[in-house]
Amino acid sequence: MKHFRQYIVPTSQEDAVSIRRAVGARGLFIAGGTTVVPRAARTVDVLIDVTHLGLNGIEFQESWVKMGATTRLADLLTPEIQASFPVLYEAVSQCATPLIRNMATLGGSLATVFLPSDVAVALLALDAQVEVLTEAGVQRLALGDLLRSGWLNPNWLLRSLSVKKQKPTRRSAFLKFGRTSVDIALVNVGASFNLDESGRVDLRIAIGQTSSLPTLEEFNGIGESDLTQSSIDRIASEVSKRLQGKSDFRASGEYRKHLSKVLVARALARMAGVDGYEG
Amino acid sequence: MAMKVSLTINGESYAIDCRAGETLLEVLRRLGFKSVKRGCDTGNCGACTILLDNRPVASCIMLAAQAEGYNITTLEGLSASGEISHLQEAFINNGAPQCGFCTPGMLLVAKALLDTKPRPSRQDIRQALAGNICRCSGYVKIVDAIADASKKVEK
Repeated sequence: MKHFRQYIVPTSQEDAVSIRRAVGARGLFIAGGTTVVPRAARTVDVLIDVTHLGLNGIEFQESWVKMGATTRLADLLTPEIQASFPVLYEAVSQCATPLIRNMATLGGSLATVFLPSDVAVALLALDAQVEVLTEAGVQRLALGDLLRSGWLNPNWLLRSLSVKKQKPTRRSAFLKFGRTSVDIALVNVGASFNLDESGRVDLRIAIGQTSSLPTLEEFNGIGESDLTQSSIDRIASEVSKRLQGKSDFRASGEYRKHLSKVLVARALARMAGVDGYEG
Repeated sequence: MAMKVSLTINGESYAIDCRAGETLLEVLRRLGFKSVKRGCDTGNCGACTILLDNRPVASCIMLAAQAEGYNITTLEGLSASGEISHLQEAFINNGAPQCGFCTPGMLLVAKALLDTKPRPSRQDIRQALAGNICRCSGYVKIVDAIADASKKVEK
């Protein structure tokens, strides 16, 4: 028996937002529940079910791919997502276990209690936009901006995540390090590589688990031919030095910084096509 | 707070009184579906696996209220006719149950896998079982049993 006292199934998205506003911090939105049920604080006693509000499914629009917030993680493992966004596909397929992925949702991976999410890192690398319903109406925000402003407000109902359709010259990669694939990562890295017509590369590198929120680093306008093993090492070292390096019972901060350097270098080498790189 | 929840379990409808904090695992065991085991109670071990619309999930980290509107299958549902399925037979023939505590979960994961992919590779089987832990630690016989069952078409 869990400590929750009330389970509410709202009939509309607006309803969900006003219930949360009325109950305040006692209330929490619940979708798959794989984090909320075992981990929600004792002070949370009202759950607001958001799985019946039409927020499910993947939509391929003209220049964006829009993914509903209550889409199950397992439903993201499609050939289309794999081809378009390798970083997201790899992150989802390495996230927790099949049993969890059948329940857990995309929005839940970003929203609540717990943010060492593999999925968050992948979406940051892809420069995803999030659509939320607030008391003031629908707002669309860049995930990178949310990171700078302290992440999602628990009063907001997460509606969807959108990622710009990729040009064939855009590549991405996800790598994580944990004791087993099922474990929470000690460090996870999502990266994207965007090559423009003039041969310049923009890199976005998101690193999770080295501070309370993921870290995002951007490098713009690098010549493609300049991405050699030694320049990759230099970028990886630079990124690693800037990290906070959180220490906890899973790993020391120093170890995490070292792991970050290795994983960033491997991700960049993979995307830039530098062969045989072991970091 | 008490609430009413309608559940469909192994094809039958149940209208039950439960509390908002009751997990699906607790409600299923209360109703007599004792194949659903409480292992870790944190969603990590898979002993509490059930099928929700034919997909395996951990019933210990799901509230009963969340399951409304879904078709729930427990291991009891695999032998509703009184006879065990060819999958269960393959587990027996291969000595896969061992202590037996993880077996219901393993069987349901195997059923979901074979329903969507009738000829899985050993790698597919291992990946499907990634969320189900056997503390007797003998996975080889379990994988053998599922591979064996995949060769026999249900008559």
